[in-house]
Amino acid sequence: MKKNAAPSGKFKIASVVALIATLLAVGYVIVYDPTDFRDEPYGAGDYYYTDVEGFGEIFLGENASIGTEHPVIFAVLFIGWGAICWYFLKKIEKKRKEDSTP
Amino acid sequence: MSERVTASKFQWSDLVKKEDWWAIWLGFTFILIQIISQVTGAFTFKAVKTHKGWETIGQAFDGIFPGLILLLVVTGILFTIGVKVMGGDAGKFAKAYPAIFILALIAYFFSTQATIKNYLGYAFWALGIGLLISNTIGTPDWIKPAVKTEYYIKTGLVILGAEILFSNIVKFGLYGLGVAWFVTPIVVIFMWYFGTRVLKMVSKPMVIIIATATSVCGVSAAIAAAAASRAKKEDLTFAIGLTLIFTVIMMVTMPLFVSAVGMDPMVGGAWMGGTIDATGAVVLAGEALGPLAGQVAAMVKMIQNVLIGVIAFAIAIFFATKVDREEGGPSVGASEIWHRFPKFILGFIAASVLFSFIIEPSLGTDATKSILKMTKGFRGWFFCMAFISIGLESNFKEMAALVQGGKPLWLYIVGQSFNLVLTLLVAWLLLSGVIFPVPNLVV
Repeated sequence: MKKNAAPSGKFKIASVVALIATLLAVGYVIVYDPTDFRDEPYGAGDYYYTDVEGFGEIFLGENASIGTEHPVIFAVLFIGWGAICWYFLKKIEKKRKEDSTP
Repeated sequence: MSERVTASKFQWSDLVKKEDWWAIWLGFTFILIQIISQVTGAFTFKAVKTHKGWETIGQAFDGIFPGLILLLVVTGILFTIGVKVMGGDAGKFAKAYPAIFILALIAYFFSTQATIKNYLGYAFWALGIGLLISNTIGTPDWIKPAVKTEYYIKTGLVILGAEILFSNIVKFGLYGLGVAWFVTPIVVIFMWYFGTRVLKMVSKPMVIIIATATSVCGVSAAIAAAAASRAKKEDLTFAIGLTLIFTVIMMVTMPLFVSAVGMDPMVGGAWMGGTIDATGAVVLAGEALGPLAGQVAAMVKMIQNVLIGVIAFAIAIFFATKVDREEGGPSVGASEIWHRFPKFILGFIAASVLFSFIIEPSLGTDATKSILKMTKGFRGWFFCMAFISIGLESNFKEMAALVQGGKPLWLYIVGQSFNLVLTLLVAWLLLSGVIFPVPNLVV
């Protein structure tokens, strides 16, 4: 695709086909319920863990944990990986701005 | 033109004049009410909604009208006070607010129906109802004073902060950290690159919202990312529409696929937990594979849920310091970052810190669960009213301009495909026993 070019006709057609196929699949799933989910209390409308019925037992219960025996390694990996990703995200954005400047 | 979710320059009077700060005060008011209710046991104030799984209208509304009226009155009064102090027309807001409330109730009514409840939540119905009204009869002028998307979203997000318990991030130890925290930022960065450099999407907030919704946890992450990146409402609408429809497909097809290929339940559970957007859909899909897969899926998703806080904060900083900064302009100092930073995020984080480090350790997990069980209801209502407002403010002509030939759709499809492959690879490396010992989970 050319820089800043509008999407081509083929791209638009592919988008429409993908969208229609997706919507048809969603319609099929809701109407025919192939995985027999209808009797379950959970669903795609539970957007956050606290929305899930029985979230206390599922997410905060005693069995819902194996914890970590290495809290320092855990913290270092968490912060370190976050810092590395932050660095790359900044680099990508800086490069994008440099490339978009005439 | 659409308003953008705001971030404004700070003055001391902002504490009572600006929406960001009012969202904090209101959010904490609702949190405080529930803490007092839990500690004293003197009263119960619940954000009631229609009963889940109803088959007749009578079942849907059975016994909830007194609670609904109380909810309408209390939330209406508190939001109206905020509007009044901020200098808005409180009278007009108070007259219009019940209409927004009733429309949100209708959205809940549809979303809790027996056949629909597992697939299409209130966000779908609220957006649909709002869009239907605004694009057919038009949004009546008398309702417009209460169409306040940001006001409801920000207040809901501050309440959501209370639900982000940092103690949960260690639940699955280094395994969960690997599946959730290693993959999530890579997917965000990949989608940012793909959306901005390959697809060259015009709206940068839309790219980050879709990326966050795909890699973290769907609608709730999209809302947080939209507010943190000061997105237009239409950007959020697109992202949520995509995540809603693909969640339905993934929650059904993934357990079928995992079973069909005979994948290890622990690997399959982690794969689904790391890729299916909505948390409830993850639990549903995980349970379909059995208790072990269900538990692993839930734990991985829980870590991603907690990541909302970290990622929303990072997005706010990223947009304030990098994306919104003009190329060649001066570097952004601390005061400028503060000026640009969406202040309600502070309330969002403060609520998380309060519950993670003060409420849960002092009151215990059971009491914390009881409080969150109540606060989540208010958060849900405010998000639902926000989606109604977005629908009422949007028209298809303006939205068509943002379709960009289907670029948001392809960003989601390509990004989610990448997410599926990477998460499966990492889940297999960590949990199959090939390299690391298989964790011992009690189910």
